[in-house]
Amino acid sequence: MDIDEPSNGAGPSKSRQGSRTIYIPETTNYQATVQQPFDYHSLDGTDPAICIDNGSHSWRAGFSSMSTPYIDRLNVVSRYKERKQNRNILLFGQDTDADASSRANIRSMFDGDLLIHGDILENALDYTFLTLGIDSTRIEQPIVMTERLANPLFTRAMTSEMLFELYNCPSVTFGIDSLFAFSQSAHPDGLAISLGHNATTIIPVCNGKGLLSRAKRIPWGGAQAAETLLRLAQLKYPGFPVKVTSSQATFMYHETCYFASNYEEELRLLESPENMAKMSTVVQFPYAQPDVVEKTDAEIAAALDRRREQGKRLQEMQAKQRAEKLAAKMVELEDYKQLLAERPTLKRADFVNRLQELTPFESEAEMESWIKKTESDIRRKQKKEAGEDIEPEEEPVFPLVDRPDEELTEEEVKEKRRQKLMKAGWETRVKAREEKKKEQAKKDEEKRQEESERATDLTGWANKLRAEQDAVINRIADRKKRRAQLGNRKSVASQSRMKSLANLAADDTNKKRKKNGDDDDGFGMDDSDWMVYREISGEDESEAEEEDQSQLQSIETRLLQFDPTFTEEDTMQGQAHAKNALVNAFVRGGSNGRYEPEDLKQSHQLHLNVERIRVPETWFQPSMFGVDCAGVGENSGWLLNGFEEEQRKRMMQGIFLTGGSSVISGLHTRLRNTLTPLLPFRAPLKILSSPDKDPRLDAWKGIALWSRTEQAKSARITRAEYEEFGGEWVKEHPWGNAPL
Amino acid sequence: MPRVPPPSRSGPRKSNASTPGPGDDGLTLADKLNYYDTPRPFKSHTFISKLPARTASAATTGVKKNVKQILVLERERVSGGDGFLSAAQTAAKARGEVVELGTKKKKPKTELSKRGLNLKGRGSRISSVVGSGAGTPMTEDLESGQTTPVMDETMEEKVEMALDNGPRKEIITYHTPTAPPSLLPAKKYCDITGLHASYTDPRTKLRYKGLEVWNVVRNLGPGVDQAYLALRGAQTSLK
Repeated sequence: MDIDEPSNGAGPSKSRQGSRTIYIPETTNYQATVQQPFDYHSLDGTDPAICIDNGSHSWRAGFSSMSTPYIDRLNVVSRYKERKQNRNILLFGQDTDADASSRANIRSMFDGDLLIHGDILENALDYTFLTLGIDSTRIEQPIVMTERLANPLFTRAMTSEMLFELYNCPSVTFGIDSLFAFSQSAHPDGLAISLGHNATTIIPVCNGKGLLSRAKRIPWGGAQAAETLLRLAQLKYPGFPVKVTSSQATFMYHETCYFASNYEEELRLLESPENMAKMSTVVQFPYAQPDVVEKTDAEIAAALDRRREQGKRLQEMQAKQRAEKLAAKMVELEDYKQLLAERPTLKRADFVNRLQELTPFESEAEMESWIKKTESDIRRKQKKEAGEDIEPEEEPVFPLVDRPDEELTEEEVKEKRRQKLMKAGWETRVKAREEKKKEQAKKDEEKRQEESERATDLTGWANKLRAEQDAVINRIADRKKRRAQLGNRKSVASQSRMKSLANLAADDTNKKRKKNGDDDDGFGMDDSDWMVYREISGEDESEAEEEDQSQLQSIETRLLQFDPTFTEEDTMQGQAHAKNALVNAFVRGGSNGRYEPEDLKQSHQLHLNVERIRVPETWFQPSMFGVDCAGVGENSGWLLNGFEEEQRKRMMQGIFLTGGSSVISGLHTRLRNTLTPLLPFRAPLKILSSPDKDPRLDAWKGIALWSRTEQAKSARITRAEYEEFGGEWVKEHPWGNAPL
Repeated sequence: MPRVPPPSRSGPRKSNASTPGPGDDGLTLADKLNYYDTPRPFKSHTFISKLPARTASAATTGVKKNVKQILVLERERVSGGDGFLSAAQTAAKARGEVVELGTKKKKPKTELSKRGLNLKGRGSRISSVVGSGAGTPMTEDLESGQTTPVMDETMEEKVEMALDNGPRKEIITYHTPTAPPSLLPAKKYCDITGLHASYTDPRTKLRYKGLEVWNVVRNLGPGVDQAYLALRGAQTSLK
């Protein structure tokens, strides 16, 4: 039978209301142990059948004498060559989770609902017979195996060929999983509804026999549901930091989803953000919290000390370096000075030669100016080392500036020009400094004024600020709107931009005006006139935007600080939050308070609410996710209504639900609610499910029970029959497919 | 067999994605669980699949078939074409006879009667029978124990007689049980939130709940609208 992942029985019971958190397990903590082979010889003398329930999710196998299948595993195989030691590795079921390379090589024998990979089937059968401890040279027991509803011939031929020719089985019987599950319920009439892993089937049962001609299949199963949940989550959280795997999606699906007893009604309730938040379930993914070690005061002090020590050492090192540099420079200076001192003893040409040889200077003047500069430099540095303050910059004197050119020599004229420049620079600096001071004073004055205003008339002040805030918010909104509009060529904003472009390009009007002698059209009188250039350039207005944002922030912080009636909700963010309450509840409904994108815990959360009922609802409205079929309820209703009244009455006492997704809560109520209006008024309806609450094993237990009956014995296909009619042929029996 | 001990690691790796280190006995978890080399006394060593020989059409000679090929084979078999040969046909082929396919050529009637084939409604009639089963739920003929080989014209006549006179058998192929479309009008749900949708965005064709969700719709990144539409199979597909 197609069964989904076992529902985690250890998990907390599912609550519909009240947000709660489920945790995705940190790692796959699968404690793999080798499954010990069954003691095959303990069965000597008895004649059990080997029962195999081959579902697209799980593979269950065992002898019919057992109460539960000896092997119950995921139906996947991992086969690969280990490169390090060049060995072939073959793993089955959960064992495929052993390591990274085994996980990467997982394959299933099914494609969707159909068994197509014979080699993987062979691997699974090998594992089964090995684990059942079979050590004879051929399989001696009859085999009873499940297959799909209306299994294609090729698939069946492939399976039976393998069983007969490869394993030498004495006989084989095929049957349909959900019918075997139904057979357990001991009802002669009813509906076998299986919510499987890759398909959902509804098969009517009449007089103890499956009625395949009327059976219905909906191509929707647990695998599709989990995948849909995954896609919905991906679309809802496009920037989710970790990749959600499909097994995690299956886990989420089983832990959070439930069938709404009345979907329409429940959806309407969810339209209110409070209800949406209430039913949100938070799925917390594991995350690595960066190590924040709580430090004791002593530790902090020690660290501070250490840092100070380090800083000191660094300073010392720097000082040393500086001193070394200074010393080097002084030595250099001395050398040059000495050279200069030798000057009078040398001829000019010799001196220049030596100069160029020993120093990087070209001429004497160059060297002299360097010496001068370096000397003053050294003096300053020495003073600084000694801890003296550098005297504040005093007004420099420009003695030459005021003297007329006639009095000066040529050299001095040059110097005068230099001094003039320097003076201008000096004056500008002074002016700027004064301006700055003035501005500061003005600001202080404004602040003082505002403070006094606030002190005297708080409401008036707050109102003024609020008006300002509104204006800024409006500006930001307008800008956003315009930006959006400019994207569309036909929008008003785009068209007005084109109009101004055309106006500016056609300058005949200006010329005409000039002829009339009136060349001033008043452009620029209003500051906003210049906006036209900004408008036509179409460039982004990030500068203005930034300015507005900072202004808004300052307004809001001031209001928050002083106006007791101004709360977080009144800030722009708060307003937006309130406006988007529904969407916020949809995306972040499970957490209390504001979403902090920086918070790792919150950023690793998925909040599921509508999805919890939306995904299972697909069984009742497959068209929701693009499956053009009637739902389980509608199909069941049609099937039941297609029978005579007496027969229908009997069948309505045995609506049997099985398959992995039938453990999703609320299914019984939902099916009843859907069926009741379709069926005759007040007709009694009985919906059953697995007697021991484990639909995963329904089919296998059904096989085990049935295989002991005489009916089963007569339904076996013997080797002779296989050879005569081919592998695709089946003998007719109540729980199997019809022969073609 | 002698095994070279793998180099020991200095410390355990933290990532759970890594291959677990070998245990005390020098075996990795995968080694322990591996059953590749376990002897299988119950298995035949001379097994060669005969299935490829049973598919007549040249295009599908490989053993591996995908879902589509498997379903095509079944359809051809049911409609009397040259898909998946029946056991009788395979036997004939093995004897070196020319296997006649389709509905053209007859087989000697004697052979058929000798083999005791009881013909039921099949062949070209099938299309009319398939799917019409709802009206006759209990007409399965229990005495039929065999599949039919080739259809021919005389058979067809017999088939019609069988249809008129006695109980007939329905052919159920993989496609037969496919559920029909719903008769109820499909409800419209918001593509973003899943709530009831009252509006459709003309630009992206996304259904949305109201103004608030519309703001979300308008700010979707490129391609996201199509991803949402693809959920319900309404995306624009370029052909």
